[in-house]
Amino acid sequence: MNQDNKNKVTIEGLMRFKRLEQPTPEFWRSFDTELRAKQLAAIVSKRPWWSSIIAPFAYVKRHPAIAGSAAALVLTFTSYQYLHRSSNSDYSTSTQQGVADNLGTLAQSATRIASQATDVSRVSTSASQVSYKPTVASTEQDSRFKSSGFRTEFSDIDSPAARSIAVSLAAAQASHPEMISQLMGLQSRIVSVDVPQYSTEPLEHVTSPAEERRARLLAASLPTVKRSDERMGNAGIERTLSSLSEDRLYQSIRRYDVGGQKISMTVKF
Amino acid sequence: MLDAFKVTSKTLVASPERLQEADQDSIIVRQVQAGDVAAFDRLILKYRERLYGVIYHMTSNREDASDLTQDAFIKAFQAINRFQGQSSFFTWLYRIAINATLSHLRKNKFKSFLSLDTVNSEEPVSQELISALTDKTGADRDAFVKELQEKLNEAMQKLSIKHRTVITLFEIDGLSHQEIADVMDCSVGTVRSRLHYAKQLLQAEMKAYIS
Repeated sequence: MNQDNKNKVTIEGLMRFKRLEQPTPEFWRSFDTELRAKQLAAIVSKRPWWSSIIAPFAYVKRHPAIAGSAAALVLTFTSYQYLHRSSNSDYSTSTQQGVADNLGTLAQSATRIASQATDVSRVSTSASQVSYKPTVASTEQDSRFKSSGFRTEFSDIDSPAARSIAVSLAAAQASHPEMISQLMGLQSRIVSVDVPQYSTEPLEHVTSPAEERRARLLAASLPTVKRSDERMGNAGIERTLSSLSEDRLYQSIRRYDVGGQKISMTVKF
Repeated sequence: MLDAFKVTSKTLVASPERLQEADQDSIIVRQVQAGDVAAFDRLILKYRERLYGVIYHMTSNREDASDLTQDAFIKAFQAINRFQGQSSFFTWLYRIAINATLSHLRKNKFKSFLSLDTVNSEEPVSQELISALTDKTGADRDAFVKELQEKLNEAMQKLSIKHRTVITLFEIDGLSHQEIADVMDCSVGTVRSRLHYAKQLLQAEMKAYIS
């Protein structure tokens, strides 16, 4: 070894010397051939059976944020669906049962209210007829009306307004017979008009808010009242109900819980 | 001071040539990903010697280096569709090769032997270096070169795998500290530390040839 030149050599120089270790060109030819064969083998080689299973997880590994978000979204949606379905089934079962019970009660109540209302209207109609007929029969206008020979279709009308119009017309015919006779040329058209045939005064069909409220409150409690007071009959029921104040009725219904199933006791008024 | 700064910055940051290479590589990679398998041959031709050189200087065995280089290219070819371009193809390919080599060296820690390539003593750089080391000529000169080569490779094999990798990538392949850190997945400080320690060990081993 040349001691004079040794001082010029460094570790970096030795590394440069090592860099001169290079394969021959023949090496690269065989290298290319082997690499080509391995590359083709890699292309045509059959993948293991578990590679298809791992493939989706490779995407998860590459995009953890997207995969995590999607998983959280699916989990949330599934949980919501599951909870919603279970609560709906419980709720719908109880609700359907309750609605069926209430509908049954309501139907019975409606039937009884309808029968009660029919009875009440029949009673009121007869009462009004009874109170109105003597008055009309006793008036002079009515006697003129009946003796005028005028068509008496309105005589069948129980409405006081119609009777009043008829009486006025009869009086006018008595005072001005010619003019009325000319006017009566229009009689057929007037009579042919379809006048609603009210059996009672039209305002009698309008129920007051108090009556509506009473009917609504009684809708649920009436079966109980009916059941407990069957011996009393319609007149007794009506009399009892008419003597109730609304507050008292409301408190009684609240106290005995009409919507429930325990209505078979006697209501204390 | 300014020269030292330039040297330091050169080792820390990738050079413009390297950036240009990275752009060219990304174009080729996209072609391969689009189904142009033949385009991968260009990447093989471009990097096979450098990659082989790194693996050879780490293993000091030409057959192992050849196999490991081929395997690295095959792995890269199979996984190129998963390459997202977050790093350069060069770094990605080096990482595959280094990891495969490290795994191979760990498996064959106690049964390694030298299988060296010939030193191209006709190169001007080689002539100058050998002349600096010895004034022998003829057969003695060739024997000296062979002896030096074996001593140098034995000294390299005495280094730990990580120290060997760092000094190979820095001194022989010419990568910057940052590039070595990217390839080895460690910090730049770790690279510097390993490099310094590897040089100290090599100097101790090769003290008969250097001052």
